Amino acid sequence: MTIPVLTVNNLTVAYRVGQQELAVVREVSLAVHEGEILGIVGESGSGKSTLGLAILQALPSTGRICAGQVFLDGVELTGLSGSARRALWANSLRLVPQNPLAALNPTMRIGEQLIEAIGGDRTTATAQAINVLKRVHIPDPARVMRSYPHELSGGMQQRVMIAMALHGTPRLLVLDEPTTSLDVTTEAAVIDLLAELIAEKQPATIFISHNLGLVARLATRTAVMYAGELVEVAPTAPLFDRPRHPYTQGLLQSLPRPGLRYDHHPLHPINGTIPAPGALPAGCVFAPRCSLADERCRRERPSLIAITEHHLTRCHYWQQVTQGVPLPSVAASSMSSNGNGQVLLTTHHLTKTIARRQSLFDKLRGQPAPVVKALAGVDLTVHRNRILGVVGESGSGKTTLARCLIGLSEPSSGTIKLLDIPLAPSIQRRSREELRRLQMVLQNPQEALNPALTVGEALLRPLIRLGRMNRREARQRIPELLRLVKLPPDYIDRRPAQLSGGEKQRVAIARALATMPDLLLLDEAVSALDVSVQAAVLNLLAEVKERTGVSYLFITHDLAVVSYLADEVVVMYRGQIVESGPVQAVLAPPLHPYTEALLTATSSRGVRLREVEEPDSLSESGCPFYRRCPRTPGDICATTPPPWRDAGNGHRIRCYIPLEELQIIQRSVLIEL
Amino acid sequence: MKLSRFVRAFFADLATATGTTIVILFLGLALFGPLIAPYSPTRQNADAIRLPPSTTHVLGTDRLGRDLFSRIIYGARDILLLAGGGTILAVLSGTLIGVSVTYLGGWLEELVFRIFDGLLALPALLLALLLLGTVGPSRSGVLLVIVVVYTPIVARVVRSVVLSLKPRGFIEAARMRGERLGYILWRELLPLVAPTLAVEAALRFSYAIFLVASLGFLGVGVQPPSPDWGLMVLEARNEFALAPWSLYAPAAAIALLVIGVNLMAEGVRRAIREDVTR
Repeated sequence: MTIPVLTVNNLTVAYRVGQQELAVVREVSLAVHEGEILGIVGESGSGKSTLGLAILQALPSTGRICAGQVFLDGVELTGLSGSARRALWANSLRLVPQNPLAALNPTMRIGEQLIEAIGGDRTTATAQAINVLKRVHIPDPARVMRSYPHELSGGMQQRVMIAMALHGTPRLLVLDEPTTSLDVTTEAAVIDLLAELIAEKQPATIFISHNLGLVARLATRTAVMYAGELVEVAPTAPLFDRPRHPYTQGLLQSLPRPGLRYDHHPLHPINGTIPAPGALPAGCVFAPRCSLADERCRRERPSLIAITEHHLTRCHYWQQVTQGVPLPSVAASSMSSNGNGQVLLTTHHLTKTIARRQSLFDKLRGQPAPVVKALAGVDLTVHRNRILGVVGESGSGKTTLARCLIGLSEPSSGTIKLLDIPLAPSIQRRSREELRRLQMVLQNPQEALNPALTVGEALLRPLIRLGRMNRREARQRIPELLRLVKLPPDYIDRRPAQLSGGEKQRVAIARALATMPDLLLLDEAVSALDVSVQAAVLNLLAEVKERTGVSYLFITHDLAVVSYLADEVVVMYRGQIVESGPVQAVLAPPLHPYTEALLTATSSRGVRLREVEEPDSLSESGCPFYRRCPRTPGDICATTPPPWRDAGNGHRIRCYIPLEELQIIQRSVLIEL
Repeated sequence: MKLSRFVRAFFADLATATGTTIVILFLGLALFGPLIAPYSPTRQNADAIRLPPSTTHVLGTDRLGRDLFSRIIYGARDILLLAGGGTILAVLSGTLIGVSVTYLGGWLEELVFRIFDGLLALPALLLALLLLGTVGPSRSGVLLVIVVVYTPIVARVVRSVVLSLKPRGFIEAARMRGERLGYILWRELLPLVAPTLAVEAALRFSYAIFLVASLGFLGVGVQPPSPDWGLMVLEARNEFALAPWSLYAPAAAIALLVIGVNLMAEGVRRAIREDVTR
């Protein structure tokens, strides 16, 4: 075997917090060879980003390497002097960060930044910069060189970062959640690009991500990190097929997978939460959350043992970690049908236009204010005790739709009917009964609760306002609500600062459910959560629906979650619904070309959207998707809106391409994957 | 917020403790003035004109033979009442306007804050002179000046906090359950504005002391024969050569109180920040 490019030996990294030092990475050893991609997965707080920064010798001033060494090509990096370290950063070490806009200088043109990064003689550097931009498939390098960072889309910005990271011949590349801030389809293209460039330049690569699917796709080997320790390291395929650590197994079981449905297969979240640094258990760090743990685990810290030449695990009882994921016995879930099928809420041709700011000059010239159509005629129907999934990427109008339904913003035209009675567009004009029937859980759990109010107070208000209870009656109901969302009763006096993200979201769900709404709108309600927590919340939603008969309008960009939880789905693109129907039908051919791109984004041979520079400037008339459509659109797409085509069973697709044709092409695409 | 923890954080710092002690000392003087003061502040004594500090007159006497120490003590009452009362009123009105107008937004917010911007564009003293010129110099006039000058400033500070809170999920959740305006302002927003407000109030107080003293010095504030510190500086100015101590005493009192309040304000700021970051 060759000598590894990167060797990390017993690395321990601590942050100074107040008076004390807390170790967030402990005794990590690993090696990465040329051209190899080592994936590092873990939930938030596992220390994976800190490990990446420590390897790059780029820790913030509060962080310190307490023990261990980092070697690059046999040279020790820890304790290098300033100039030697700068030379290393310039030539060998590269980072692709999570947020490209924060990493690029907003006051410098892209070209200047690239030339600065490449260095050397200006003319050659310029030529080289244009070359690397071409290399990352940027269509018009000369224009991008002249642009400022904010003028580029997120995907383009990340391509520029990749161009910066991969010019010349880097030895070590650290990818720190490089696609987390991007849309699914953009993410797919960026991952394709990274795979291609790494194959060509052969740097040793560390790919840090919380997304197990992405790691499975890109990494050759994978290390699982938990509470600052590596708990399992193995080649990617065996790690995912036969996990040998209970935590890895738990992560995998938390994921909604194709074929699983909320009403038959509850997910298997990992109980408890990740321990805070400084409050680590004495024995195995995972013991408090592990179902296999016994006295020995709580007492004695396991070491990383090699069970085969390449497979390491930190567990006393790895033999007992059974392979695969045990499917729960199919419960006699009766697909509950109380009031099933009754129409609960409909919208008719809902539109929302947002006026853009106009310059005074244009205003004086009498130019009409430019408008953005956030919603362009949305018709949808929600049935009682059913889950309607709304899928789309940022800018698709899905959040605007939810805000119009709840009344937080007013639609420009169209009607919303609840139980066949029109709803007032503004929330102030709606009756208390209407407010009670419609509630919403917002995306960001960190902002969902007022930091000044306790959990009890937060749950009390809806009961008093909408449930018409007095204070005493309301107080008696609260333990029941906490039980509904599986929180212990003593949480009633806690403040939001004492809750984890998942717990906050549970309280937000309990608050929305307090007065038994008929329809709960969930706007990306699980997107900000770690996978194990997400699984617990999904289980909770399924159970609450079963028990209370509530309907959900579930907004997400994550198709796996939709296929697990939704009964019906609508797919939105630029304020319009392009496909709708029962979930099994919508997620199988024939597919709208956009749905096809979303569905295959997770695969390296999937369909990719066409890159356009300004998808905003679309013609008012034709198909909203036509400029990015991967399935060669005809001229008619640009001029006339496409018709709805019926694929049977309520499955409808809005496209000119005949369904039979779509079905044939897509079958072959999906089989290949 | 735990009060005991706040108090501990507050006194942990020497500068803060010093400042607080100074302020408490002046508060004591104001409260128990009549018990401490050796003479009446307005009694003139033709036998004791312009006496330098001595055992009978600790800080000396002025040109009318009035005991300076007694005048400082009674003056403390005046200045703390005017500056403190004015600050409380300004903070109340600034908070009320800032929270409600910012939350409601729209043209009302635009209108109110443009007017405030206009007020802020005038130098504070010029505005004060204009107002006092209209209503005539009096104690209530001084109170009015403090309220008019500081309400826009407090409202601006409150506005910046409310603007950051307004789009948060918990405010939208309150709207979704049809909460009344009063509840949202009072129960959801105000507790979160309060820490910033405490710091701002302490800061305003120190500026208000200065303003009251300045108005007294310009002769448009509290009128003679009241023992106002600013007024005392004004009266002593003309005889600096004859009795410099009659200038030193009120000037030192003003400086000491302002320094004390500023140190205390800094302590409030630090204690709240530590409480938040915990």
